[in-house]
Amino acid sequence: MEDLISVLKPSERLKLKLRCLYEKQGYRKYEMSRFEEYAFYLENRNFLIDKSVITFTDLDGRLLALKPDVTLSIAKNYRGGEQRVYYTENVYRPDRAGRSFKEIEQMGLERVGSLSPDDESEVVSLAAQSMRLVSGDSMLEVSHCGFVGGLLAAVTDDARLKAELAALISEKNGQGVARLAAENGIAGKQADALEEAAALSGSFAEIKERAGSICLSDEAERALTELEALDSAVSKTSGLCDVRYDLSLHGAEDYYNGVIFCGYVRGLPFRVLSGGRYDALLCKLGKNCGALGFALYLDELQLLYGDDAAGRDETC
Amino acid sequence: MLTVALPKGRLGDKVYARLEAAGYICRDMTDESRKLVFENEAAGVRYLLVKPTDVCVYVERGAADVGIAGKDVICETEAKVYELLDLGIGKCRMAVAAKRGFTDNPGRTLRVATKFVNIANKHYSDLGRNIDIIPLHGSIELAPIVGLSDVIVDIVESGSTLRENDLVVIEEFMQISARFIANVSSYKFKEAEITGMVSALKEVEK
Repeated sequence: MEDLISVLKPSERLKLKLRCLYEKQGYRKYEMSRFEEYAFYLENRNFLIDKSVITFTDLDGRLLALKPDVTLSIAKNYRGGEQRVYYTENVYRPDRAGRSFKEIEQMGLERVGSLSPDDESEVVSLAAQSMRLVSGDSMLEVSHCGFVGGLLAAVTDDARLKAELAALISEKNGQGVARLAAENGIAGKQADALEEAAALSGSFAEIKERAGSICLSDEAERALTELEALDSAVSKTSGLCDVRYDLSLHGAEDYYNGVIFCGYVRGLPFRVLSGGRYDALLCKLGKNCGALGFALYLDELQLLYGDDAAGRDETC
Repeated sequence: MLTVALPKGRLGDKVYARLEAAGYICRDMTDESRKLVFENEAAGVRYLLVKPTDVCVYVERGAADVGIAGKDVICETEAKVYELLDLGIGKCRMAVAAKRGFTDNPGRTLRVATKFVNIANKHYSDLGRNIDIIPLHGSIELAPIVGLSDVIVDIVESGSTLRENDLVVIEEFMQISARFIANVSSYKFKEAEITGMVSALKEVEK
């Protein structure tokens, strides 16, 4: 067995380790078709990271798409009950420069059903454990869409202004937030809270007091309370990467609706994991339940592992 | 150690002077050499001299932890970076200019010559105006003079180039200045160093 393992590339060993982790937690492998009806993606465009999709006409005349996303298919095929699945799939999206399509290998995990806070902490812990398996020098950054969402709802009803302020907060552009707030008559505590939200990051203990002092609404307060409970539960799990909080992270408005998180590895320029709560997608598909999951972008790890097995990371 | 992408040229000189005053000294930088990488381990800083339009690429893709780029470059490249400080230097405006006496006819497509294709597209998309973008790499002012375009979208600093070519600004829509940006992942792992540099730069500004 050792001989067999020794010939595996680091990325292959990582996938085995992750499968082992997810199976031990009761998650089952989900296999899916490479194609999906294009109309399905068209109806749910707001839930796609990139709206561009490769389409082709099947032999029976149906317009199909090469899968640009896995979560949508899992949500579509959910038939009730408690679903715990993980997957390793290729998806097809435009490359970063937007010049051509790219095949992207993803490994991910989804939990669908009537989710309790314990279920939520289980998935976030699995994300942090996954990051620890990816690299010994990695980080999971956690936030809650309701925090910035709650602040923005308290200061304006204008959807366009909300979107502009949200974009500046996620860029950590505190001066830009202050400028735009002033131009739109938002002042005092409200303006200060928005500016502060752009800079709020650290361990939960480090951000708790500052975040608590700028909650402008019940929604923001609820988000903070949920994060506190989550932090308390997650911190009891072993084998985690560094877990930190950054409340400027609030995700795409249409997609995520609760806890949200991203994974980073020192030395890699882009996030390698992203996930969160996406009940709104299930709701749009007429399924009244909760959903939470994450995807690990295996192609982003190529720089970490090098060209072959010579660059093995012992954490794998 | 922080790797800083600095724009070559006038803006870079001004920015380096600000960084030097903030304590991030690298004496070799002032040499008349063709070197592109300068390092001062004691000050914990390594500078990369890059083309101003490439700063965002170096930072977004992690070759540099932080950098200084014009707001025009950040918007045009649509780089996903943190924008941590407006340095308030290299101030200018993004503007629409046309030949003196030009009147826009909303009944037909507006021909727009520009180096800033994404910025121009977004501006006119926000206005709901149908346009035909003509991408150029230089001498933008020539386009309306020879009938290649109706208007240009370009950076205006003093306005003297426009005046000399009998063009006038018909709209200004973006304030531009040099911004201190950071790679998102670098920020997670080097937050104290990066925020320390931001604070030092703010202090110098005072």
